Amino acid sequence: MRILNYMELKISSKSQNEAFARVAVAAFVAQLDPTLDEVTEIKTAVSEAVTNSIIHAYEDKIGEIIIKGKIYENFVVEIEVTDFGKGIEDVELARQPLFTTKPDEERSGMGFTVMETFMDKVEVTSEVGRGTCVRMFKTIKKRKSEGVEIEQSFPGGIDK
Amino acid sequence: MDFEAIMMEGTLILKIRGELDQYNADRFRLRFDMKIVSPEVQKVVIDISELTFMDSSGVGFLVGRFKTARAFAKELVLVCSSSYINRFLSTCGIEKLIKKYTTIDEALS
Repeated sequence: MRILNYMELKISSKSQNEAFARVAVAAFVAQLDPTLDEVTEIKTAVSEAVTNSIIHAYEDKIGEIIIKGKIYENFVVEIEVTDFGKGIEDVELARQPLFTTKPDEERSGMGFTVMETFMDKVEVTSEVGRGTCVRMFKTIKKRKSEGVEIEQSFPGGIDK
Repeated sequence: MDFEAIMMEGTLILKIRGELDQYNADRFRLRFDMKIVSPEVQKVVIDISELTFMDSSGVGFLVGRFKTARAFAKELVLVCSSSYINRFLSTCGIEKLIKKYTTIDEALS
């Protein structure tokens, strides 16, 4: 798939930055003219991934979180959230609904389930002691104006 | 996020506005619990109809307040008329634990 546009954002793992991260991603995705529901779904998924990095990957430390956004042809959006924290021992287990390593801290254990529900595809790679990368994909439904499908308005691709 | 607390004949109504995420959950947890455990409160209604955003940290926050209320033998219910927030709560399965109504009147009756 050809990349038509991209962005990269680096934030410190402070919970104050959750709102900033999801709003920044929403603004990036806005160029595809998504519905309000689609924007909120993406914002929620980003919030879940960033919160996981803050709460689980870095715990009491402050580290770096990198958020990348890519827009491919055919209205496909990819959001990647990477941290360099403690990593996940068992990714399959972590993705189970209601699973949490912090039951005493009001964690719902629904973070990955929410990401999977609201995005089309979620890939998680993690290495203990090195960090975690969550890649999420979603196709924005093509909007129609007066019955005519709106073309994706990006001339050419980007070599990256 | 901000909230308004209204007392009505033993029922505490907490109306939350804005965005309920991890940051705001941490900021408001203690303030909510202090109101919920107050002796004159018999029932708690949390109205989340005016939330503009919520993620699973928000679900953890609501379940946490439900547990606080239960520990003090008080009933806690939710009011939500926002279709998106309702859909989100269903995704997280919160209705299995906490009763949810569409209007405050329904929750009070």
